[in-house]
Amino acid sequence: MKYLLTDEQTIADLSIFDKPGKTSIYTIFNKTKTQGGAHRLEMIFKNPWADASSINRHAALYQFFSQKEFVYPVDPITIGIIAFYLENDDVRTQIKPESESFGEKIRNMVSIDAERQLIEDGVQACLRVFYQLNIFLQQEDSIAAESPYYEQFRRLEQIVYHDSFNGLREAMNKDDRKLDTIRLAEFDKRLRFDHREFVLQLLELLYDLDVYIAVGQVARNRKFCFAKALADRENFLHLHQVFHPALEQPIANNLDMDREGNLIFLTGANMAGKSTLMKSIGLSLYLGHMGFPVPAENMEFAVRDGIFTNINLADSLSAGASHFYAEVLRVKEIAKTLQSGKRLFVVFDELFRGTNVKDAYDGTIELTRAFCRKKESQFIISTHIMEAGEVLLKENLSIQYLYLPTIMEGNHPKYTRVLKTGITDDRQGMIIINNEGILQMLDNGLKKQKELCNL
Amino acid sequence: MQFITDKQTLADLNLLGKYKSGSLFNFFNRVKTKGGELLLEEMFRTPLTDVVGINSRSASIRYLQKIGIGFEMDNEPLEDALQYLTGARPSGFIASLLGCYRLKIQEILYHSDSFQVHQQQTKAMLQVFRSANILLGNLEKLEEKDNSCKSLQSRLSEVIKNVPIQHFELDRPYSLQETAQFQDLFLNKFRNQVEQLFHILYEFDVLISVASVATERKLSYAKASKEDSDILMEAENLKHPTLSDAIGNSFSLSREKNLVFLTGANMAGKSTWMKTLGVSFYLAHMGFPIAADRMTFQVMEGIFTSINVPDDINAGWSHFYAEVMRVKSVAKEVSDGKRLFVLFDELFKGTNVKDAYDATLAVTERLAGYKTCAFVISTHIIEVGEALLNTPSVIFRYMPTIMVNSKPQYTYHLTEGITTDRQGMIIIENEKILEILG
Repeated sequence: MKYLLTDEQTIADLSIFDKPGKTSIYTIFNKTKTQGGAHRLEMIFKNPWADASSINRHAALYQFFSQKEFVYPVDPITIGIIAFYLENDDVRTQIKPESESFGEKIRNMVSIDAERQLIEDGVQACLRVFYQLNIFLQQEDSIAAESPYYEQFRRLEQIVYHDSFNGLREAMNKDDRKLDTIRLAEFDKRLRFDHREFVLQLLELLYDLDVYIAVGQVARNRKFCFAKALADRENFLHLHQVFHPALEQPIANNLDMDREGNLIFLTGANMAGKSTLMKSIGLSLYLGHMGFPVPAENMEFAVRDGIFTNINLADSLSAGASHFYAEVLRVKEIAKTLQSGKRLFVVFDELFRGTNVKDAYDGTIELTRAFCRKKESQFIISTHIMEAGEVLLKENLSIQYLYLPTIMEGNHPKYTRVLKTGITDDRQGMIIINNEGILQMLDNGLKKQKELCNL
Repeated sequence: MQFITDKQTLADLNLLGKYKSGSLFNFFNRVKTKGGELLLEEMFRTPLTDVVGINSRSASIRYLQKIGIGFEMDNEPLEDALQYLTGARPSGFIASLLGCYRLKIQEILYHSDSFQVHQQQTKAMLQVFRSANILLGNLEKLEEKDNSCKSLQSRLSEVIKNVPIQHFELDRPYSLQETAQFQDLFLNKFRNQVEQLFHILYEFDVLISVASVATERKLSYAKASKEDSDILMEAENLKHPTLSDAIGNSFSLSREKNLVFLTGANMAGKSTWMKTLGVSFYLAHMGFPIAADRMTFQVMEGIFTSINVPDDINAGWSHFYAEVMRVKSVAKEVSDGKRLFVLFDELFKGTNVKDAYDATLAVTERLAGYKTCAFVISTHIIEVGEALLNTPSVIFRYMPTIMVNSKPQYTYHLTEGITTDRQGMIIIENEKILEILG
C-alpha cells in the first residue's frame, strides 16, 4: 500500500476540507450517520492511495454500494451510546449481581446512580444493535461471493452469530423494560470485558459500512462515475465531461493527457473559468486516488505518486516579495520531488504573478520547458502571458495549448467555459477601452487646447 | 470653486475617518471641542482652491506654532452654552424677566428643574467668555511681529470687548434679575456676536491643534504659487506625514515634465511613495503642514488616485470594467481642461499583459500632452517605459531593489531611470530550480 504525496496548500486549493463560506468536498460526501463514520471518511480524505490495486479495490466497493440501495441497519444514536459505553473499561464499574445488598436494591429503586444508568443504557444499546443486525444479516444473506463487500459481510456475520453472544440477539425487549440485575450483570461482563474485542471490531465494521453507504449514495444522487486506475500505463489521463461538484450549473469539459502531451498550457481571461477548471481536474484526480466517485462521465488515469497545486494564492500586497520567494521555494520543493523520479500531477495558476512582466515571461518559459521534459509527470500551467506560449509553440514540445474563450456581446463579455485548442487572443481589454472612447476623448481635449492656444 | 476629488481618492489616501486607524484626520485631530472637530472635518472635505486662502491659513498655523500657544477650554461648558443659545430670542429685558419668573414659579410649584438648568447654562456661557478672555490675553502677551493671525485675533477681542459682562461674578446662584439681564444680553442684544465667538473659538481650536501636531512631528509648510508658474510641484525630502521613520525623497514636476513613470518591485515602496505625494498635495491644498524640508506647489483644481485597488480574482472582469470606467471619468475631467493631479498605480492590471501594455501606453502618451496637469503612473510593464523614452514630457523614476544574500532588500530611495531589477529570475537561479529539473 502506498499513499499519495500532497500538502496543505493542495488540500486548501481543492477545498477538500471546510473553510468558512465555502462548500468543501468533504461536506459533499459526508452523508455519514455516525460520528465514527464521519471520522473514518475524514481519514480516507487525508490519505488517498497511490497504488492501482488499492484504488481499484476500494472503487469496486463504493461502486457496489452505489448500485445497491442499502439502508443503514442500525440507528446512529445507538452506535454513539455503545462507543461511549465501551470507553469505560474499569473493572470496578462492572455490575456484580451477588454483591447487591438489600440497601443497594432499595437505593436503585428510588434513584438509580448515573454510572449504573450509563452501563445499563450501553447494554440495552448493544442488545438493540444485535437485534437489528440479526435482521439485516438475514435479509442480505444472499450476498454474492464475488461481491466486493462479501468478506466484510461474512466477518460481520461471524461476530454477530458468535457463540459468546448467544442469548443476546433475542434479549432485546421492545417495550424497553428494565433488565433484571442478574441478566444485566451477565451481559455487561460479556460485552464490556470478556468479548470486548469483538464488539470493538463490530463497531469498526459498522463505521466502514456507514462510509460505504454514504459514498454510494452520493455517487448515485450526483451522477458521479467511478474512475479506473491504470497500473501498467505510464502516463495517461482521460477525463470525459469533468465538472466542478460545488457549482450549481457546472459546465463539463474533456481532457486527455499522455507522454506526448504531458503539459497543458492554459490561457484565458480572468473570469473565463481557468481556476475552476483546474480545480475540477485536480479534484477528480484526487478523488480518483481515493477510489471515490468523481464528478465526470468517464475517467481513466495512470496512478500518480503525488498531486500538487498552486491555485488561489492570496496575492496580498503586503506579502509582496516574501510571497514570491515562498512561491519559488514551493516550486523548488516540487522540482526536487520530480527529480527523485516521482510521477506527479502539478497545477500552477499564474506562476510568478507577483513579479514584473519580464521576469514572469522568462520564468514561465524556462519552467515550462523544463517541466515538459518530465515525461512521466503531468502539468497544467495557466498564465496571462500569451507571448510565452507563442515562443514555446515554435519549439515542438510535448505541450497541449488550450484556452477558455471570451465572447464579447456588445460591451459585456460572455464566457462559454468550454475548452478550445490554441492560445487565447482575447483582446476584450482594448475593446472595452475603445468602446468607452477614452482615447478619443483625450485626443479631442488636446486638440481643443491647441486651438485655444492658437487663437 | 470646489476642489475635485472622489471617494476612492479619499480612501486611497486614508484622509477621513475618526474611527479609522492611521487616517490623516485622526493624525491632526487634537481638538478640544466638538465644533472644532466638525470644522476640522469640513476642512478635510473641502480643500482650498485659491492661493491667498491657502497661504493665509498655513501662515496662521505657522504663527500659532511659533508662539507656542495652547488651547485650554473644556468641551462641556461650550456644549452647555450652545444649548443656551438655542433658546428663543426675548423681545427685551421685561420679557426676559417675566420668563424667568415663570421658570421660578414652575420650580416652586412642581419642582421643575428648568430654572436650575438655565442657571447652569448661564454659568457655562460666562465660563466660555472667561476662557476666551484668557486665550485673548495669551495671544496678546505672546504676540510677535508680522502676526498672521491678526484678523482672527482682533475679531476675538472685538467680541469680548463689546459684550459688557465684565462686572458679573461667575458664581451661582444668580438672582432673577441677573438671569434676565444675561438673557437679554446673550440672546437678544449681542446674539450675533456670541455666535461669532463660538466660530472664532472653533477656528482657534483647529489651528492650534494642527500647530501642535506640526511641532511634535516637525512638519513644515508648503508654499502655494500662482497658477501660471512653470513649476507644478517641487519638494525636497518629502515623507509621508504619519510614517515616523519614512525615507524622504525629492521630486519635481513642471509644465514641460509633467508625468512621472514609476517602476519597481512590489515591495519596493511604489504605493507608499504615491500615497506620500497624494497626501502631501492634498494637505498642502488645505493649508496644512506637510513632512518635507521644502515644498512649493501650484494650486490645482483637484486630485484623483487609484492606489491599492484590491486585486480580487473573483471580481475579475467587473473589477477591470470598474477601473476602465474610472480612467474614463478622469479622462473626461482632464480633457475638459481641468488642472488635476492624477496618480495611477498599476493601471489595467486586471487584464492580460498585451492589453495592459497597449492600454497603459496609449493612455499615458495622451495624458502626457496635458501640460497643466500632473501625473504619476506606476506599472509592472517595464516595456511601456521603453516605448515612452522619446516622449519629452515623461520623467522616469524607480524604487530600487538590492539583492543581499539572494534576499531582496529595499532602499526606498527614488532613483532616476526605469528599473532593471530582475530579482525574480535571480531568485529562481539562486535556488537552482532549472538545474534541479535537469
